[in-house]
Amino acid sequence: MYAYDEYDQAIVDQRVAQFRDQVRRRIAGELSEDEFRPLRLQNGLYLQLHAYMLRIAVPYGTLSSAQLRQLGHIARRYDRNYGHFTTRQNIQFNWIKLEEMPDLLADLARVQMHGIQTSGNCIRNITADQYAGAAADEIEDGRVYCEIMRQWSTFHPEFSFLPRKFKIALTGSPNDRAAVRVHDIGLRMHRDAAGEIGFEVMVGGGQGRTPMIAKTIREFLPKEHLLSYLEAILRVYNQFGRRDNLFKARIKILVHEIGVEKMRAAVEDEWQQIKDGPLVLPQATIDAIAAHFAPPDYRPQPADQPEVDLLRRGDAEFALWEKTNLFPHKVPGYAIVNASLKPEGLAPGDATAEQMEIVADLADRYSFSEVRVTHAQNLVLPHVAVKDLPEVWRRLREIGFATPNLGLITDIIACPGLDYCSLANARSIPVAQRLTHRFSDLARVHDIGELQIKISGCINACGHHHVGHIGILGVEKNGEEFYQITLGGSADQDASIGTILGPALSSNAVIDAVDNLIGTYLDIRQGGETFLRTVRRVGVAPFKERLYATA
Amino acid sequence: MTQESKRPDPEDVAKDRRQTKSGFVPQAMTANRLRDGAVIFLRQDHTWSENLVDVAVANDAEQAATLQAAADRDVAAARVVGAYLFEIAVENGDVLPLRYRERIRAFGPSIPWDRPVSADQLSR
Ligand code: SF4
Repeated sequence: MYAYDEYDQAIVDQRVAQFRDQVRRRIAGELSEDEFRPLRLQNGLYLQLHAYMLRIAVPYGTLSSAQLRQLGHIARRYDRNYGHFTTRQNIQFNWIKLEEMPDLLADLARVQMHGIQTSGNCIRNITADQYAGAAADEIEDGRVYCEIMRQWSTFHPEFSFLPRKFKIALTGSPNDRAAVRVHDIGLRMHRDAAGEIGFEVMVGGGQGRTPMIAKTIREFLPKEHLLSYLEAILRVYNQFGRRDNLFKARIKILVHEIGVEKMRAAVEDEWQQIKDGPLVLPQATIDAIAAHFAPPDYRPQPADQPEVDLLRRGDAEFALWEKTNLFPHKVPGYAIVNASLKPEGLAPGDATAEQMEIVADLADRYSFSEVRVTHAQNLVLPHVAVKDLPEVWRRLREIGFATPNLGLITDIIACPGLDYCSLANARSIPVAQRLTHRFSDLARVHDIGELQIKISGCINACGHHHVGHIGILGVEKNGEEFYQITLGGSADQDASIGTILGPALSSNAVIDAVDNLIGTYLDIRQGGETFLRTVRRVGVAPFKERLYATA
Repeated sequence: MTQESKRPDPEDVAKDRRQTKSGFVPQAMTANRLRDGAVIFLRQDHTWSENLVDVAVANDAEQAATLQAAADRDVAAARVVGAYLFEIAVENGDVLPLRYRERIRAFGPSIPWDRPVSADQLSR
C-alpha cells in the first residue's frame, strides 16, 4: 500500500506542531471558540453530544496492520478503549480530551494518519471498493487512482472553501461496493470498445435531505485526464454551486437545477481549457503510484485443502461463515475475509482496542499486513490463503467478529445517532441492537437472505437509510423518538432511493414493523428472489397495506 | 458522569412539560469543559459539576438569566464551551431533563459505552 514520502510526512508533522500551538493558545484563552472551531475542525475534532469526537481519515478504506494497531493504542490511551468505524470508511473516537489532542495527533502522524479534510467544505476522504486489489471481479485496482486523487485534493488551494463538503467514490469493479452513485462524484472503471480502461464519470449523487442518484456526464474518461476532468467539475461547482442556502449547496442541487446537459456542457467547456495542461497524468506517474499497490507475494496454494474440507463438513458454523463472510479472490487459493463488526446486541462498527490489535495481528500473520474498512462498517482481511481460513475464523470468532451475517438482515448500518451525535433526532444503535436480537436465529437470517437495513438518526443520512433495502430514519415527534421506514433503496450498480412507506412509527413499533415487512416478503417472494427484487417487482403497496393494517 | 443506577428508563419520556404557575418551564445550565470536553452542569455557587444532581434549577426567567450570565463569564474565560440552558422537570428533588437528547447527554449513551481496559491489555 501507499507509504508517505518525505513531502507527505512533512505536511502531517507540520500540522501536528501547528495544532499543538493552537490548542495551547485556546486553553490559555488567547483564542476564542469562534476562532478555534475552524482550526480544530480542520483536524477532524468535533464537539459532539458528550465530548470532543475525533474523525480520522482512512484513505479509500485501506489500513496497514501497523495503522490499525496504532488506532487500538489511540482507543486505549486517549479514549474509552473503543472506536467506531463509519460509513465513510473512517474511524471516530467519541471521548477525546482537547488537551491530549496534540500528543494523539503526533501518535497518528507516526503511522501516517491524521484527521485532515474529515470536516469542512473541502474534498473529503475518497472512498472505494473495500476489496480493491483483491476482488476476482475487478477490472483494475482503483486505489492507484484514489491515491492520485488524494494527493491532488490534499490542501488543494482552490477547493478549500467549496459551497459545501465534497465526496468522491470509486469502484474498479462492475459490482459497485462503494455506493458511487450516491456521491458528489462517482467513478466507475470500465473498458471502452477498444479495450482501454478508463472511467465513467457520474456527478450529483447524494443522500441527506435531498437524496439523488448521480447522473453520468461522461461515459468514458481516459485515465490520463482524470485530474483535469475532476478539476473542471470542481471549478464549475465552485463557481455556480449555491452559497446562499446550506441545504441547497451540494453539487446535486446544481446538477438538478441546471440539468445534466448544461452541467456536462459547462464541465466540458472548462475541461477543454485545462485538459492538456499540467494535470495530465503521464503513464510514468501512474506507474510510480501503482508500484505502491503491487500485489503481495502470493504463494502457490495446494488444490486440496483437507483440513478446510473437514471443518466445512464437520462444523456447520464454519460452513455458514465460509458461505457468507468470504468473497472470491482474484488469485486461486486465496480468499477475501470479512470480519463482521455486527455481533448480536452491540453497536454496528464498534471495535475495542483489543479487537483492533487482534485483527492487526491476524493481518500480519495471514493477510500480508493489510486490512480494509468497509462503508458497511465491517473490516476486511483482503488476502487470506484458503488453508489459513480455519485459524482466521477461530480467532475472529473469539473476538466476536465471525457472525456469519455479511450482507444479511443483521449486517446493519447504523450511524451513531442520538447516543453520540449532537445533530440527531433519535437513536440508531439501540434500534440496530433490538433488530439483531429479534433476528438472532441464524437459520432464519439465512432464509431471509440478502437484505440491507440502514439506520440514520436524522435526515443527514450518515446511516445511508435512503439506499437501504429497508431504510429507517429517526425523527422526533413531541419529544419522542419515531422512525420512518423506506423500502427499495439500493446503493449498488442499480442504485435507487427508497420509497417512504407511510407515517413514522413509534420506537416500540419499529422492530415489529420490520418483522412484518419480512413476513410479507417471505409470503410473496418467488423462487430465489431477494427482498429488493421482490420490492421492485410488486412495489411498496403490499408491504404498506399489511404493515399499516396491523399498526 | 456515569450514573448507571440513576439512569431513567430511556423509553420513559416526560410527555408533560411541568410549568410553574407563571408558565415558566424550569431550566438548568450545561456546557462542556474546555480542556477535556466533559459534560458539566452549573451549580448554584456558579462552579461546575459532572453530576446532574448538583445542578442549579432556574424557576423563572430572572434566575435563568443569572445562570446564563455566569456561564457566559466562563465561556469568555476559556473554561467551558457550548453553554446553554435546557428544560427540566424536578420530581422529589430529582432533576430530570425533559428531552431525550439532554437525558442521554447527562447519563451517557443508552447502550454499553464504558469498556474497561483489562489488566491483560494494560500489560501489553
Ligand atoms: S445521520 Fe444525523 S444523527 Fe446520524 S450521525 Fe449523521 S448527523 Fe448524526
